[in-house]
Amino acid sequence: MRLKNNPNDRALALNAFMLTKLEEITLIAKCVTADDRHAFGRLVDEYNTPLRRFLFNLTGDAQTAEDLAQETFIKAYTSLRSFKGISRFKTWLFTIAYREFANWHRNNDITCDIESATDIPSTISSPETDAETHYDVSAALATLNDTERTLVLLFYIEDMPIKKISSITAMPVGTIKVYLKRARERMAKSLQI
Amino acid sequence: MKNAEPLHTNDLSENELRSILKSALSGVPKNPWFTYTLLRRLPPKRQRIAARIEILTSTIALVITIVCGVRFVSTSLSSPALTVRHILIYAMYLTLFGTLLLNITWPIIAGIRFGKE
Repeated sequence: MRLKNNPNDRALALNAFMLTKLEEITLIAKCVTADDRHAFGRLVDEYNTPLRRFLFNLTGDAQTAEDLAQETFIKAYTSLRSFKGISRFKTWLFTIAYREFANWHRNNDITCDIESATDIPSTISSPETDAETHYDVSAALATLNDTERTLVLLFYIEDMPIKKISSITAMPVGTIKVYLKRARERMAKSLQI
Repeated sequence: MKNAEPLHTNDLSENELRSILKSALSGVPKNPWFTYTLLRRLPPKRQRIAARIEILTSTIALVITIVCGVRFVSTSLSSPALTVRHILIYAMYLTLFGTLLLNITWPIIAGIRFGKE
């Protein structure tokens, strides 16, 4: 009960279930050497929520996000031997997911316009009082292009440092900063901050 | 937060934007079957080199056991009496044969019984 009341304790309890880099490497080694599906399942359990959230916010469709997340994990599994372990598994996974999204986007030839803004992320189980905010945020996100939206989601929602975002999107750090600044200004204007 | 390095000097707006985005976009549709579905979609398990070597060695040993066993049976039948020594050697051959056969066929039996993981 104490854990529920104290946010710091709750954060500590949550961290206790998070994988350390060593545990992550051990699980990956098990997958590579012994084709251990349980070890991979543990990695999926750990990272499927942030990955699906990222893809859901990018595509705006739960089913598409689910399919892309599945494809991402399957690709990660089949090319696990090429994972060098220099970056975290999450960064590598998001790199694959970003490429999957780009492919999906290219194949579907989607053009984002303001009219589709309301479809973008109609977040789940939100209180009614927040509905307007959600709509505003969706509309503000829709004013951004795909690159800007990707960067905003990685930076603001996934809390990734710019260096990691750079390795995921293969964009220079300076360019990311410029894109983020521009996106921030556009969103601020839309949200009227 | 370490990752949340501000992009400009206006920290309040930066933090405000972050909190607005997080409160609106942090949700994701729950899917308790995600991992289960994904693991079923993975490509079939590949046979490890070690397992292949084990099966090959066991098969060679099984063939040798059968040949030696048949030769022993034929020589023991031509002998005038069946001794305890003969029975012990029969038992040894049978045990060896059974173990090797089980070692080769177990991956197939386990695959049928427990399904592909």
